[in-house]
Amino acid sequence: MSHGIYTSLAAGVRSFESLDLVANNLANQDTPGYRAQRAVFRVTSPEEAQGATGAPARLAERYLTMEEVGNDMRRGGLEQTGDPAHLALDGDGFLVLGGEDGARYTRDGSLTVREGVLVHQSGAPLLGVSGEPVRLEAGPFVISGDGVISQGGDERGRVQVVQFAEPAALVREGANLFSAGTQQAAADRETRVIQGALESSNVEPLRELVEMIRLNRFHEAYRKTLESIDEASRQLNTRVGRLTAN
Amino acid sequence: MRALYTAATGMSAQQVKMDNIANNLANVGTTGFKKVRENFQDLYYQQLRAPAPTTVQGTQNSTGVQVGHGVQMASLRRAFEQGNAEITGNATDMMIDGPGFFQVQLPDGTLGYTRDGAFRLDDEGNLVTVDGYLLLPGITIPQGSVITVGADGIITAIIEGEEAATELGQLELASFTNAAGLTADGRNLFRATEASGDALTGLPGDEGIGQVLQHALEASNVDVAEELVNLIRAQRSYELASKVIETSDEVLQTTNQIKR
Repeated sequence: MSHGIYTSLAAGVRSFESLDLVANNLANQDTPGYRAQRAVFRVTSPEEAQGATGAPARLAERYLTMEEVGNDMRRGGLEQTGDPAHLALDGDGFLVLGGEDGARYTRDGSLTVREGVLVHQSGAPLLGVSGEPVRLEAGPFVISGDGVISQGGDERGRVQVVQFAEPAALVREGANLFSAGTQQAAADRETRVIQGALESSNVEPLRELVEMIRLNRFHEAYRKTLESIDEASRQLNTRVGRLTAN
Repeated sequence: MRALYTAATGMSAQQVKMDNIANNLANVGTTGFKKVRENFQDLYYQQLRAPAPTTVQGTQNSTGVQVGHGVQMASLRRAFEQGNAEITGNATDMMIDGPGFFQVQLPDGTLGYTRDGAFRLDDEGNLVTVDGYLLLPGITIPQGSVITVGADGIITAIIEGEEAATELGQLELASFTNAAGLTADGRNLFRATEASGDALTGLPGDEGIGQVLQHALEASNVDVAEELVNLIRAQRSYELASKVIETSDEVLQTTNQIKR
């Protein structure tokens, strides 16, 4: 049997997976700080796949594999909200939130004040440079560009902003949060904090729409290929070996 | 096929957004109304392939394959930005310039908080809200007198037949650490919750509470243009999500035609 049938099967499976990513990107057009996902595909020859693992790879993954899902880390637009507890970041840094199983990182600065502490919409507290949440007293507060939180002229603390060598490799945790994975966070001194604004999702609807159309046609082409291979095999089975022509 | 369900989460989140925009727009003329905004969150991610330090090709920092499951409307948040002043000329109309709230005695004995300062007099001369709830601390205005409310909330009256002004009392305002945590009770009333924290009372003019303006009402802080832009965006997002469902359906149909 020709390899072609498995190659086109792999392509078919991949188009389903890519469509899942497009659906998630489009669903998160309004999610603050969301980063669009892109599939990265790679063509593998059967020899290469076997050589790497020593064992035959699963058939569907042998020819076209989804190598990884890349995160498009380009910044989204800024939306002025006027809410003093909303933060946006001008730079490539991340806000740091406390969590039961380690720190979480986010570009979504939709915070509220709860019990004197700034809390992310997921419920996790925003951490200051000390590694502890910044304690506020009742009343208004101002956050400067370098992240210093002050109330009536008294400094209460400073928002912690970190950066990663490979921000696209952060692990998604849902609720607009990332975890570091195998990376180490480093202090970020360049990113500026903007109070009263949120960063929009960086999903570009047009791009997703085009991707969706492309996948649809791609899937159709794969079906046609399967059909042709099927037809060729059928002819092989019925025609070859027949003594009289026609 | 996750795409179908993922797209459905997008549609239902946009649906709630449209409902909320409709409520904001319906309250564009409501005194002291505070618009509500939506908070979206992405849902959990399924890890199909773990991030590997080194891939077959030798590239570093592979992110693995994480596929998300859509979006949810995590919460609705009220934006307590100041609304514009609307001069009415009515002596018992007041507005707060600042973050404070008027305190109101509700029939069940609890306290309500409002930004709607359209007060009236009841049959005993007490200042009450449009719905007849008593403004706290209770202030009784003698019949036929002309009142003046200072920025500090002190209410004075010139009583018929007298020349000197009489001080009737001083308004008290409430403020909250997290006003966004208040629950809306309808009829322009809010109630304190665990999230908002207890009310901190103070006098008008104190820091972080605001001043009182007489002869004016606070207009709704809904911006019609902003809501319409949001409505268009929600509608388009909804449409795109439905296109995902359509495409998923077509892809499934193509798959079904493989075996004839």
